[in-house]
Amino acid sequence: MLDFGVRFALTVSQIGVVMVAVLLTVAALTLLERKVLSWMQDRMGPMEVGPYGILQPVADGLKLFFKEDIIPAGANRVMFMMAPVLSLVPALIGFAVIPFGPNWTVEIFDVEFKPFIISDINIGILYILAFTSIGAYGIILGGWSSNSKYSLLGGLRAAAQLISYELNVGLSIVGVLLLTGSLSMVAITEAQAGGFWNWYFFAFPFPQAIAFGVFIISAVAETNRVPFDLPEAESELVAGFFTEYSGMRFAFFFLAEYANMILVSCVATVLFFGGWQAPFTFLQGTGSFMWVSGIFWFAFKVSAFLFFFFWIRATLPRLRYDQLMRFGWKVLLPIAIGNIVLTAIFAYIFPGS
Amino acid sequence: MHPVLETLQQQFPIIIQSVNEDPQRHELSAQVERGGWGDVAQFLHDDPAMAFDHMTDICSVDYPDDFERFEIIYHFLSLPHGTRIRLKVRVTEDDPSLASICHIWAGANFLEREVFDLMGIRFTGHPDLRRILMPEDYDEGYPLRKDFPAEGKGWRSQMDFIPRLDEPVSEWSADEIPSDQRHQFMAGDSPDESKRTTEMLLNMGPQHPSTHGVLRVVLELDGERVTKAVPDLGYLHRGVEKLAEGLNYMQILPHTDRLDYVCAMTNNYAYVRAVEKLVGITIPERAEYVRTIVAEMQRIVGHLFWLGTQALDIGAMTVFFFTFREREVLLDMFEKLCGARLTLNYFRFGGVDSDLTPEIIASLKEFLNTFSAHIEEYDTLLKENRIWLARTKGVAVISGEDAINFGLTGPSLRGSGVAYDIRKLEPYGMYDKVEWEVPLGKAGDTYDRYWIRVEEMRQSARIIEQCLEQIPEGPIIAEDAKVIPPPKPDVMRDMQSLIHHFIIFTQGFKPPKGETYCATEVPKGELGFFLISDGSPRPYRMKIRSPSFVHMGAFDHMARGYLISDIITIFGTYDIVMGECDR
Amino acid sequence: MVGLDLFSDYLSSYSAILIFIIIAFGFGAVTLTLSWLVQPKYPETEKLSTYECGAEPFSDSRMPFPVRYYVIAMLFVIFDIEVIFLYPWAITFNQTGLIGFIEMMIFIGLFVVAYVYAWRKGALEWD
Repeated sequence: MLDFGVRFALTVSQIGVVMVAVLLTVAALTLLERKVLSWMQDRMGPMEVGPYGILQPVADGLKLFFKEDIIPAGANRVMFMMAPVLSLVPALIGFAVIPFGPNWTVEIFDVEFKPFIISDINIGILYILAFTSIGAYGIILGGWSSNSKYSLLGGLRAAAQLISYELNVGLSIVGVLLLTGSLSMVAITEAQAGGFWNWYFFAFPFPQAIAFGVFIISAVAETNRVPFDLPEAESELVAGFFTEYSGMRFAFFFLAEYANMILVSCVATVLFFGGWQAPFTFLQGTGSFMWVSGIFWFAFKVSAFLFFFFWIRATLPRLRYDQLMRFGWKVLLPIAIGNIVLTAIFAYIFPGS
Repeated sequence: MHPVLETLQQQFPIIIQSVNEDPQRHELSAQVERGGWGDVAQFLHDDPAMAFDHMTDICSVDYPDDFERFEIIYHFLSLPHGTRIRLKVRVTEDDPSLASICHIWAGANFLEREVFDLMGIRFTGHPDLRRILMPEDYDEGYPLRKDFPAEGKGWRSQMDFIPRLDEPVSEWSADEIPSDQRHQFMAGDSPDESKRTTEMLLNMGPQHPSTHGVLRVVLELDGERVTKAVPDLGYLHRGVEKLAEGLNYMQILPHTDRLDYVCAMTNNYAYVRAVEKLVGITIPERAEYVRTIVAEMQRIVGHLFWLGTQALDIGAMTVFFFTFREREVLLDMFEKLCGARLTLNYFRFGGVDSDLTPEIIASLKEFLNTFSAHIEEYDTLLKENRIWLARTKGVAVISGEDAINFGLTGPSLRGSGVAYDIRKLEPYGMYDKVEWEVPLGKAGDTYDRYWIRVEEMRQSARIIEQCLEQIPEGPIIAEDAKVIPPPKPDVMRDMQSLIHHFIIFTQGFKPPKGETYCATEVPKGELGFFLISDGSPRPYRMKIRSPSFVHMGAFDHMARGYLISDIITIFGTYDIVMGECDR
Repeated sequence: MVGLDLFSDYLSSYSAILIFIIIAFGFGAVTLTLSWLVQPKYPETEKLSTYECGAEPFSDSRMPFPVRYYVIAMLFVIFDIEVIFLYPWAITFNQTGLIGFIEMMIFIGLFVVAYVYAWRKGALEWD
C-alpha cells in the first residue's frame, strides 16, 4: 500500500512538473513568437508590459481569465463549452510518453521510478497519434457548435485538413519504425545513440531525411500554423473555428495550438534527431551530468523546431484550400509511400543495423 | 467641327438635338433626345469610326425649374481614337425613365444604379435596379435632387433603425431572412427553395478583417466555391457630392483628401486640375514639377500600401511591415512638406501650398537611392515564392475586352494588356517632359496586376529622379487675383490684396458658367471630377468618377467560380478604398 | 507470478497516463470554473448574436454541406486503416524475413492501386 502511495505521489508530481513546464513554455512561446516575428520584420514587438515586454504573456493570460465568456445564443451549449477542453487535453497528455532525458531508473522508498519519462509504454508513438487525432474533434465540434458560418467553414476545413495530413504523419514515421523495430519512444531514442550519424535523419542504411520533410510539413499542417493555417485563416474566415469564442475558452484553443506545436517538435526530435542524445558522445558527459546535458540537448532541438515554426510564419504566404488538399494527397502521400518502400528495401539488403 | 460630332449629326439628324465643341477645354458634347438614346448608345459603341468602348461615368443633374427636369450626362472614352465625348439626355419629372445601356457597357450597371439611388431616374431594362449607396429601405427621397436639403433630414441618432442601448434584452430568435430578400444574392434566377439546399449565403463584411474597410459582399457558396458575389456598398457614404453643392470651390478641397484617404495628394491633384480647367489658370513651371513629384511620391505610397495589404491578406505578413517601413519615410517627407501625413490638403488652385525645401529634396534623393534595393527585397519574398505564385497566377482573370467593357482603369485595366494611362494619353503635369514607360500585363490575372504595381513604383522613382534634376527655380503658385489668394505678407500691406483676400475667403471666387470633365491618373485608376458651374462660387453639381466604385461593378464577374480564399485576393487586387468607393 | 508482474508493470505505465488524463481534465475544469466565478456576465442581444461580419445572418448555419468533405473523410478512413496495418509489419520487419517483405510489398502495391484509382477517379481533386 505504501508502495502504491509513493508511486502515486511521484507520478502526480512528475505530471505536475511536466504540465507546468509545458504551460510555462506556451506562455513564453506566445511572447517569443511575437518577438521573433517582430525582429524579422524590423520592429520591436511587445515592449510595454514589464522590461522589454516580458510580462506580456501574464497580462494576456490575466485578461483572458477575467474576460466574459460569451456563449452565442444559437450555439449548442454543451458542445460549445466542451470543445476547447477536448482540444486542450489531448495536446497536454501527449507529453506522457516523451522521454525528456536518459532512461534511468531510480529507487525512491523502494519504488522504481523513471524521472525523465512519465510512462514508457511500448506503443508510445501510436498513443501520440491516437490522442492528437482526438484533438481534431475539439476543433471540429467548436466550429460546428458555434452556429456561425465562419466557424462552420473553419471547422470543415479543419476536419478535412487534419485528417489528410494525419495520414501523411502516419506514413512518414513508418520508415523510422522499420529501422527501430519498436513503437516505444524510449527505444527509438536509444536506438539512435552514439553520435549524430546514428540519428534517423542521417542514419545508415537509409536516411529518413525525406520522411522527416514529409513529417515536419504535415506537422505544421496538423498544428494549423502558417502556411497551413486555413481553419483559422484570419483574413478569410476572421478567426475560423474559434470566431465565437472568448475569454478562457478562447485561451484554451490557443494553449492547445501551442502545446501541440511543442508536442510535434518533441516527436520530431525523438524520431529523427536522437531525442536527448548529444550530437557527439563526448558532449553528452558522463555520470550524473548526463541528465543535465540530455535535457539541454532535448530542449535545444525542440527550440530549434519551434524557431522553425516562427520562421516560416514570417516568410510564407498562406496556401489556398484546394492547393493544400492537393499538396497533401498528391505530393506528400506518394513521397511518404515511396520512402516506406525504399526504406524497406534498404533495410532488407542491410539487415541488423 | 469635330468629325465625331459631324458623323453623329448626320447619322441621327433628329435625335441629336444639338452638338457643342468647347474651344477652350477641347471637350465634345451632344444633346440627345430621350427616345433615341438606346440607338445612339449602340451606334457609339459599335461604329468603328466612333468606337467609344470605354464607359467613363454617368452623372445626373437636377434643374428644378426646367420642364425636362433631370439631365443624365454620360461620359465615354474611345480607347482606339483617344477621344472623349459627353452625351446629355433630358427626362421629365413625371416620367423619369431612360433606356438602360447595361447590355452595351457592363460597367454601366453600377453607375446607373447610383443615378437611380441618388436622383431617382429609372433605367428600363436594367437587370438589378436597386439602391446602391443609400440603405435599401431608405424612403426619404433622392438625396441629390435639389429639393433635398443639403444638411440632410434629421439626426442619425433619432432614426429608429439604430438599436438603442436602453432597450431591454430581447430573446434571440432564429429568424431567417425571407427568400424573396435572399433571391437577389442567388446566382440562379429561380427562387425555388427545394433546388438550393447546399448553397450557403455568407455575409463577408462590413466588419471583416480584409474587406479593406466597410465593404459588404454577399457570397453564395457551394462548399468553398463562390457561385455569386454581390457587393453591397454605401457603408461609408458621406454624400460628398451633395456636400460640395453647399461649399465653395476652395472649401471642397479638404473633402477630397477624405475620398481615397491613403492617396490624398493625387485626389487633391485631380480636383485642383478640374477647377483649373474650369477657370482656366496657367500654372508656373516649378509648381508643375512639384506637383508631379508629390503625385508620384503619393503613387509610391499608395502602391506600397497596396502591396503590403495584399500580401498580408494572402498571409505573407512580413511584406506588410517592410512596405510600411518605406511608406513611413515618404509620409515623414509629406509631414515636413505640409504638416500632415494622410489628409494632406497640399494643392492650391494655381500651384501648391509650400515649396520643396533643399532638406526634403536631399532626403527624397536618399530615399530613391535605396528604394530599388527595397523593391528587390519585396521581390525576394514574393516574386519567386511558389505559394505566392500559386495564389496569384490565374486568379481573378479578366480579359482585355471585359476589362474595357466594365470600365476598369489604372493597373486593373493595364494588367489585361490595355495601354490606357492618362499620364501618357492626355499628359498633364510634367509627364511629357520625362522618360518613363507604362508597364503592361498579359494574362490579366492577379500576378500581372501585382507585377504592374511594383513596376510602376520603379517608374515613379524614375519620374521623380528626372523631375528633381530638371526642376527650375520660380514661383510655386500662379498669380490671378480673382481666384488665387494673394501672398499673406501682401495682404497685410496692400489694400487691393486685402480686398481680394477678403472676397475669396468670404464669398469664394466665381468661375465662368460652364462644365468640364477632368480625368487624372491616381494609383487606383482614373479619378475624374465633373464640375458644372452656374457662375456662382459653389459648384452646381460635382460628380466624382471614382475608380474603386467602377471597379466594384466587375467584382461579381471576376469572383465567380473562385474559392473564398480568392475573394480576399480579389478585394486586394482591385486596390479599393471604401472612402472613395462610397464617397 | 511472472505474468502478474508483467501485468502490473503494464498497468502501472498506463495508470500514469490515466492519472495524466484526469489531471489534464481537472486543469481544464478548474481553470474554467475559476474564470467563470470572477468574470463579468452581461449578456445582451447583440452580444449573443452570431457573428457574421455585422450583418444579419441569412440562415442558420446548421446546413447540409457539400459531399466533397465526406469523400475526403472516407478516403482517410480507408487509407488510415491501411497505414495501421503497416505498423506491426514495420515493427517485426527483422523477424518476418523475405516472406514478410514480399507480402508487404504486395500490400503496399494494393494500396497504391487504390490510391491511383482514387486519383484517376478525381476523388483527390478538390473540385
